[in-house]
Amino acid sequence: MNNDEINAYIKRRADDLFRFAFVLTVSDGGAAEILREAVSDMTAKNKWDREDYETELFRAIYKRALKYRGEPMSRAAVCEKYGEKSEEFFELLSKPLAERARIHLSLYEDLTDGEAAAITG
Amino acid sequence: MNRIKYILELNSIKPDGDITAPLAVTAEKKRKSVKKRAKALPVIAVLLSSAAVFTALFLIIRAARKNTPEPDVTSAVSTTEAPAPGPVERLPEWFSADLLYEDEYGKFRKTALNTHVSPDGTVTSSRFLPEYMDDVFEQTVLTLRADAKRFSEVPDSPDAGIAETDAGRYGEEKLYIIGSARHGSFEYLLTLKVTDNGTIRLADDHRIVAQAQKRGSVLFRTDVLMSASAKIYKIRVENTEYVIYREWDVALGECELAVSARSSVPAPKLESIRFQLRLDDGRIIPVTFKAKTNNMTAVITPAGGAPTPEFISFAQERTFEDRATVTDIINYTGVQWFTPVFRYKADNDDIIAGVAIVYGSSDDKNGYPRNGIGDSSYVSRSYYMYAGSEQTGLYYNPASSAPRFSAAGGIPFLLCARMNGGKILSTFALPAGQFRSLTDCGISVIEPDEKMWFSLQIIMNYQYQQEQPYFYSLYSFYGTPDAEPQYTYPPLSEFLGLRAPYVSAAYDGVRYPYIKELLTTGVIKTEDVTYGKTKLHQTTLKAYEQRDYYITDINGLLCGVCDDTSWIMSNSGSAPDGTLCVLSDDSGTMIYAGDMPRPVGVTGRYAFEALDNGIYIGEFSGNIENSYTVSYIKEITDDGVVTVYYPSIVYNDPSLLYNGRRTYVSPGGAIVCNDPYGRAVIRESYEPASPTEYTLERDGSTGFVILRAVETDVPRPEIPHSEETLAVRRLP
Repeated sequence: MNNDEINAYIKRRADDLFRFAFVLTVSDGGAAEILREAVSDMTAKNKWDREDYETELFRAIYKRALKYRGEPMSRAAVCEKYGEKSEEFFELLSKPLAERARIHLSLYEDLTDGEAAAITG
Repeated sequence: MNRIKYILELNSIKPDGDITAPLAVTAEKKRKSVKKRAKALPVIAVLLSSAAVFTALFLIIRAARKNTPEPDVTSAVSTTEAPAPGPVERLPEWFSADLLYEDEYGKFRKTALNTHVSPDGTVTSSRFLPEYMDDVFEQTVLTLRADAKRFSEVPDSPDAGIAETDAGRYGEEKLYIIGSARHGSFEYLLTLKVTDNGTIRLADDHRIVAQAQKRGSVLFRTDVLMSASAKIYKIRVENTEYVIYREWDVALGECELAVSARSSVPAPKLESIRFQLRLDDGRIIPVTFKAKTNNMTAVITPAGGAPTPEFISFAQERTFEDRATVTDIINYTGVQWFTPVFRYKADNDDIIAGVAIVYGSSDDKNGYPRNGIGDSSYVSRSYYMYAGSEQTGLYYNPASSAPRFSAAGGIPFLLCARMNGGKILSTFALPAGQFRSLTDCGISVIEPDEKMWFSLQIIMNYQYQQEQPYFYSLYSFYGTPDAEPQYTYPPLSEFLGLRAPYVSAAYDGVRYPYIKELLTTGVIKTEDVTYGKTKLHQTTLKAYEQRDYYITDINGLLCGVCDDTSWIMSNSGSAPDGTLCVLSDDSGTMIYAGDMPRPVGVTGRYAFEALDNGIYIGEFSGNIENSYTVSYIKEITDDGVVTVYYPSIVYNDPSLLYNGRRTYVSPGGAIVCNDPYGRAVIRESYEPASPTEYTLERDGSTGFVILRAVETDVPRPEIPHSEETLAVRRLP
């Protein structure tokens, strides 16, 4: 993909990618940070031209989330910024990172267990 | 967690500001650094340049193929229209050429461009943005001419197609609607997303797709077109906005094209594009897109009668889950429209009940909408209420109003779908007389004449965003007030192992709380209590009454619905909790069943004692300012039989007087409100120091009890407590 295509893709999927990153980091700043890094990784490693570039991007976000050490947002902060969330939602956020990622990829991205596992390793 | 719920939870989580800019910069920067490295290796670059060309071509081809629908979503092309399995009926496409809804399509394009559909087809932002409310768009009458070389019967055709479309704005990303089709009440639009900078390019891969533009026509390069990715939108207009239900990617090169050579223009005319859409549950809907029928006239056909003020909007309340459910039910049943109004649980299944309309006959299916009723711009079409003979009209004003129907003839049946795990297990019709419990949306009151009312929320766009209802519309369901209840649950007394009191028939128009057979769900607690000098056993339990096919609490307020074998409580937060207080004496005889004293501004508990042939209601004390004392309540009928009324719970909170109760003003000035069970409820305050004597009398014409109040200076008599007078066992 050329830059225009990459940017178009990112523009189209920005919210979704951010949400994945947010679920992994439970942090707005952290989500933005790892998303930026993941995109950089994709570009530096020329992965945008791969047919499964989206899978690669999810994988890059996940790997960055594994390394992320920032402070997660408190429950109150999440609610304050993004509105009230259900108990189930916070239960999900309290699960281990890999499980959280798999649930998100399954529920939100509609990936199969196998596809999600390919991303989380 | 439920997928839809999860998606909705995440809906508000978005990056601050525009995150795409920094991301894009990152991509650009890194790409440049890669290029710099490439410049450092000119020899390799030269050697690889020829390969790069092929690679680029390969990538273009692959990019085009990438958007080919997945096998489990869109099947390969079929030249035959296999009948869709299951109950789905392939409805004929019927269009009118004389009605065009360009503005609506303009809105659709804007909606689609501002909408994201997630991979599972869930529309995460389908709102029609307010700023587009009054936008007017140019006419879009699109005809598409396709690559004739693909069809041997059309020789010497140019390698191009022509599409007539609006000129658009310079540089604007646009959707070309190149065909439309209908299935049920949904419309499928085949669209091509392009950017128009004078040169029209595919928005996705920037290839030039149009070479020339003249007289509003776009000359397409069909070699590009046929390897392009298009989108199918499954839409329906609801409450002036386009609701996008699904979105599919399709490769135009893999569809079946029907081309006419009869066209007078040099190029053959593409008449239709045919797909089979495979739904999530495996069913297949054959869809034919016809370029020449690209308009909105399929929504409605002629109806009888003019619009009435009793409209009900079909607007759905905000949840995408509902929309998906609506889609499934419509597809499953073949009805033309379905508006869910109630949801409940039964045997671990979800029951979705709603109002549905259907075609009356094949003539209705094939008829054209009637354009304009009187001076209005309504177009209309007739339908029938589901499973009934009542005709109704669906009206639609393409310029301003929501689709809506007049149900002045009543809604005799509801369409119910039994679902589990998101799958429809079965559907059935439920007579409205059995189902007058539509509390999901708000208030439900049963009036004395047992007419059931329910309210539907109507959401307007601009309020939709604040999730505020626009207004309530009340609609009556016609019931059968005199129907005999079918009790399938044991009487309360039996349930509690108590002896039932004698049922007095003295007052036909009055129902006593303790003689009603109540549905019960379980005892909350039992305890010994003392009221005045009387020691009794008090049982608190959840209890409801069955009235015809609906469930009320003991005050007649709606709680749920039931049939002969089961009953289901409303999950509405407004439903009463059905708490019941049962008092029994030491002999095991139930002497009272009724409301628990409500803690409305009252901290104390009223007391009653058994007095001389009557009941003394003791002081009603508490933290209310106007506490009062009621002296006697008794009645001696003509034949000398003493009827004992167990205590009327006395409130001074007007809010407890529910709508529909009948009230009387007693001679003494007390407002007496008799509840559905004949208990007198006094709504007035009295000075604590001025005892008043009350006498209950029956109104011969209405059967209602009237409380006569006479102020007296006579001190309250000291009448010894008598266990005997407590119970109605004294009655014959």
